[in-house]
This record gives sequence, C-alpha cells and structure tokens, in this order.
Amino acid sequence: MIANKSLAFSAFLAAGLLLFAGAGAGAQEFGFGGGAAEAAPAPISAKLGGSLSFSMLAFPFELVDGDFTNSAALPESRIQIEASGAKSDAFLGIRLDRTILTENPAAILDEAWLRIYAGKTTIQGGLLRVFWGRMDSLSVLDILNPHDLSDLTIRAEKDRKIAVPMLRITQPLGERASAELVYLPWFEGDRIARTGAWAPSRLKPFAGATFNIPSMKSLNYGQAGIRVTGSLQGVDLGAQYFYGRLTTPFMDTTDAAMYLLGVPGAMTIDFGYNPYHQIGADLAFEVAGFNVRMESGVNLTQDAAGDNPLVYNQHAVWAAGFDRDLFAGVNLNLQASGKVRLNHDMIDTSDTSLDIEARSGVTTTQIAALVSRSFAQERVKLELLGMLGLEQADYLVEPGIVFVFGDAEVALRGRYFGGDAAGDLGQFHDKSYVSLSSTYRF
Amino acid sequence: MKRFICIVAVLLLGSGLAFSQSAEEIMKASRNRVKADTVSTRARMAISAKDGSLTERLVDQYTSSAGGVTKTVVVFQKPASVAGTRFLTITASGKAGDQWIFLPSLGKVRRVAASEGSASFMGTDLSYDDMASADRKADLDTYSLLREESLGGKPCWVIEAKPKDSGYQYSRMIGWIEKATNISLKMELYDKKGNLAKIMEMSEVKDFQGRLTPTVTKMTSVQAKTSTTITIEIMKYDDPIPAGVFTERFLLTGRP
Repeated sequence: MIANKSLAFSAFLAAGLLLFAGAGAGAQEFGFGGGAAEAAPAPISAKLGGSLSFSMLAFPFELVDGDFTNSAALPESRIQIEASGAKSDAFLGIRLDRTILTENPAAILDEAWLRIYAGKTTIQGGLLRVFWGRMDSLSVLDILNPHDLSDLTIRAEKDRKIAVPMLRITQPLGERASAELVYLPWFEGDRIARTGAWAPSRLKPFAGATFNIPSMKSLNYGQAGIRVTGSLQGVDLGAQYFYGRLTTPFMDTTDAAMYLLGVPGAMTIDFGYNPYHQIGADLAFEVAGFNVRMESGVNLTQDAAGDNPLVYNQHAVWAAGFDRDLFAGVNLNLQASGKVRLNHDMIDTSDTSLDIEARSGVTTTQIAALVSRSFAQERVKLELLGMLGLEQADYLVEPGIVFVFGDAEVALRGRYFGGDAAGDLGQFHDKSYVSLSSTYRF
Repeated sequence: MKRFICIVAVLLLGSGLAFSQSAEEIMKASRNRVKADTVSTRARMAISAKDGSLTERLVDQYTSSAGGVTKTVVVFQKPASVAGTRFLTITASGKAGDQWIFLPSLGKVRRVAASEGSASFMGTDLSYDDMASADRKADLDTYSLLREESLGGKPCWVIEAKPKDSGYQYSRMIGWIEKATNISLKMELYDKKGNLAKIMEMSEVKDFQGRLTPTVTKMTSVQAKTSTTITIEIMKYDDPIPAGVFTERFLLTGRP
C-alpha cells in the first residue's frame, strides 16, 4: 500500500502532464526539430527509448562451498517515453528485472515527471532524481534522494539513487545564476539489505530479528530545501539549505541485545531516521588542466550536545576531487569525502554502550579513484576503479574492460573487496565477484 | 570533448593556420571570408574504423558571436548512446573558455577543463586541437608560402605553418587555399617526428545565403588508417538563437 502511494502520486502527475504537453504545443523558436534531418520545427514530439541488458554475475568464493546462491544471470529492460510540447515535457521511465517483478513491483515505475516552462521559471513535479552538489561521486551535498544500498553490484550513481516524489521550481537569476526550490512531501530512507549477500555485518548477530521500520510517507514528514548556483570569473559556485531527514537510518538494538542476553521479550530492531538541517556550499573550477570540485557543509541534527544514543551527533562534511588527463590519453578521476563528528567525546564508548555511534571514530574518510583509457576511436575502454575507507583500512578494487559496438556495449569487470573485515567494504570480502554484462540502448 | 570549439568554424574558416606577411594576408582573407552573427548547423559524423565499419553521430550546433563573446552549444541527437548530451562553451575575447557538459547518464551539468588538446574528440579522428584550430592565435606559428599549385583543378596557394610551441600536437601544417574563393581545401598535419599524421580535406562547396561553404570535411588518420567524415545537412547563417540556449537550463532541459 505504501509503495502504491508513490506509484499513484507519480502516475497522476505524469498523466496530467502528458495531457498538458499536447495542449500547449506550438512551434519551436529555433533549431532543427527532433532527430529527423529537417529544417521544419516539430510542434509536438514523443520519443521512445531505453535499454536492454543482460548480466552474468559469478562469485568465485562460491566455488569453495559449491553454493551458487548469489551467482546469477540478470536480464533487465528499461523503457523511457518522453513527450514534449511547446511549454512542457513529460517523462516516464519503466524498469523491469526479475527482482523488481518478484519482490518489489512498485519499483517498476522508475521515474515519472512533468515539467512546465512558465516563462523563465521551470516547474517540475513527479517521481524524480535530482542532483545537488558538484562531485562526480562521494558527494556530501547530494542529499535529496535516498540510495539503494541493498545491492552492491549496482555501479552507476544514478542507478543507485531512488526516485522519490518531489516538486522542484527553478528560477534563473540572470544569465549565469539560478535558484532552485524543492519540496518533498514525505521521506524515504536508504534501502538496506536485511538479509542476503549484501546485508551489513552489523546485522548478522541479529539474524531472525524483527525489523520495525517506520513509514514516513505522509505529509508529516515533508522536507524542503533551496539551492542557489552561479558562475563567476571561471568558478562555479553553489550554496544550499535543506531541512529533512538523514537517509542513513539509526538502528535501536536495545531490545535485540536484551533478548540475546536472555531477557524475556522479542528480538526486535527499531529503525529510525534523524531529522536535520544542512547548510552547505560548493565550487568547481579549472586550474592547470585539473577539473577541481569541492563541497563542504554541516549537518545539524537534534543532538547538539552529542550525548543522545539514538541521534547522530552533529557533523561537518566535506568533499574534494579532480579529474585530469595525465599522459597518453590516460585520465584520472580522484574524489574524496569525509565526515567529522562534533562533540565526539560525549559519546558513551563503553563495551556495553548502545549508542549508535559508539563503534566508530570521530572522522570517516573515503577516497575513490578511477583511471581510464580509451582506444580504437573509443570502441575499447580500459578502466580501474579503486575505493578506500581510510580509517577502517578497507578497500574495493575493480578492473574492467568495455567494448563498444555502435549502440551496444559489452563489459567485463571484476570487483574485489579487501581490508579490515569490519569495514564498510572489507566486510564483503567473500562477496567479491566477476560480471559480464551487455547493454543495447535504443 | 573538452576542447570542442566549433565544427562549423573549422569548415568555414579552413585551417586556422597563420602565416608570414604574404601568407598571413592570404589566411586573413580566408578567415574573414564569411561573416555571420550566428551559425546553426546539423551535421552527420561518419566515423570509419580500420576494418571499414562505420559509426554515425548526428550533431546540432548553435554559435553566437556578440559583444566579443563566442558562445557555442553542441547537442548530440544520435545515436542513443550519446543522445541528449549537450556541451556549452563560452569564450570571451583573449580569455580561456568556460566549458560545461550535460551527460544524461550523469543527470547533471559539470564543468570541464580545456585540456586534452591531442586527445580524440568523441571518438573521431579529430583532436580537440583540430576542432579549435579556427581559434588558434596567429602569433603561435611561423609561416611560409611554399608554392602555388592546382588541387583538383583549382589553383591554390600552398602554405606551411610551424608552431613556435614545441609542445603542440603537430610539428608543421601544410594548407592548400583556393585562390578564387579563399577556401581552405586541404591540410596535411605532421606529428612531432615529422611524419604525416593526418589529412583534412574540405569539399562539396555550396552557397548558403550568399556564403560559399564546404559541406563535407574528411579527416584521415594516415597511420591508424581510420577516418571521420563530417557532412553538414542543414546550415543557417544569422538565424535568431535565443539567449537562453547558452545557459545551464538549456543544458539540463534542452529548452532555452
């Protein structure tokens, strides 16, 4: 029922705008129309696109015990319909794969929105993915959409994002600046596996526990923010304010811990999501061929004193990175981000502490690097991705080769998790995998 | 992608080489041959691999030059793998350009660096330097008029340009400028070792609104035995282009 609520919301908006798109149709003011090589403008256009893909996953560690539970062949289809009129656009994205069809049919509707051009103002509403901040990855300001963390084989940042209902109004402020207002009528947190290959290790002691996950899909949990961006003297600048909830849940394991200690009761784990204010700023510029990006901000939760065991402490966040061609066409994209906990010394770190932050340090730092090189008119691409959790000394390494055949591509990649087995990455050491995927876009 | 300046400018203005006094006069005449406040084109790129297989791209481009600022937007229409990619360059006279790109797969606009001069442009045989050659400053090269000869039955000046900067992609460039029209018809581009690296040929000259314009440009990579042919399908000079085309909103939405 909850899932259907998102579906209905988006379907309503999409249907409305599809009508709107046609009703407001008129001649374009310039250009060549759509894909056809004609000089005449296209008053109304509709496009059908999408992709078909087929992936095979193999987990070498499963060879050891002969249990090939996670190794799989995964067909997937995405269908996208775009309709454009003179003053409006509509978009409908559908995603079909085995997991969605069997476990989460509501997720078939991947994205659906309408966009109206009211003079200089752009009004967009529906089931949206919106990007804030500047970073290519590891952004600390890109906070509007929750992420699907239940499957670490999902590679693209855009695919990890979960589209959520949102109203977005964008107003240009001169030629090179704009302000953006967003309103999210309700809240949805990150999707985390509670069982299976990608369930975090901290949940493993509580196998068989009942998870109480609150529904926040009501107007009581509305979120809103504003972001202003602009360019000045070769520098892109941005500033933002957001009030909402951290998409990372906290887990109250008190009852489950008591149960494991023999206290009568049920083994339950309560999920929750802390409200917070975020104030952030970012910039991007080029210097000596380096594409530099930076973000910083502060997340102000309700635990200003730092001693509430079920509320994340307030924390400062930062991110910085660059990309550059090094030599012989080799490109390096390096990104890093971190979090510094405020009032860390107020956290009870004793062995019996149930504070949600008792087992982590004052800082959290991640570094991601992608080295890539294309050959043969970009028909072949070699890439090497690495991620490092600095404090936990765990890592991920993923070499890959991609072959492009027109609108199709075939990719062979292997992802290896290593380092501290208690780390966010290292805990999945036995889930290292090899994937062979093919995708055709139309 | 990061040094893409103007396909049309290359086609219109020819090699962009600058020459010594007499050669420079020829080149200036070639460069100033066409005057327009805006240029709008749709071009088809045919990228030919060594085995002869073809990849095609359909590209729209809008360029405006007003107030000493050149603004160019490139929109990739086809194939599906690059459709919706939009690229904006804003270059004030005498300054380095600002460049942004919108990639549908990323879902956001990002600033890009004006580096990678010798790197391939979008998998084509043209480098970013090739694409930007129309804006190459005259004082970056030394020039000499090598000879006068006919090319395809058309009398031409043959002019050699040598970059002063040894770090430039090419060690020398030889261009054929048609005497009758001042149109650049051919360029030979030599690598740092002095070997012939690429040949650029312009052909199929047509009259658009009183301006003679080569509509086909073929760049051949001699050693790799690959080529890219750019064919202009639609050309409009001085067609009004809304100012909103050269904004982040257009990159995001495709709407001015």
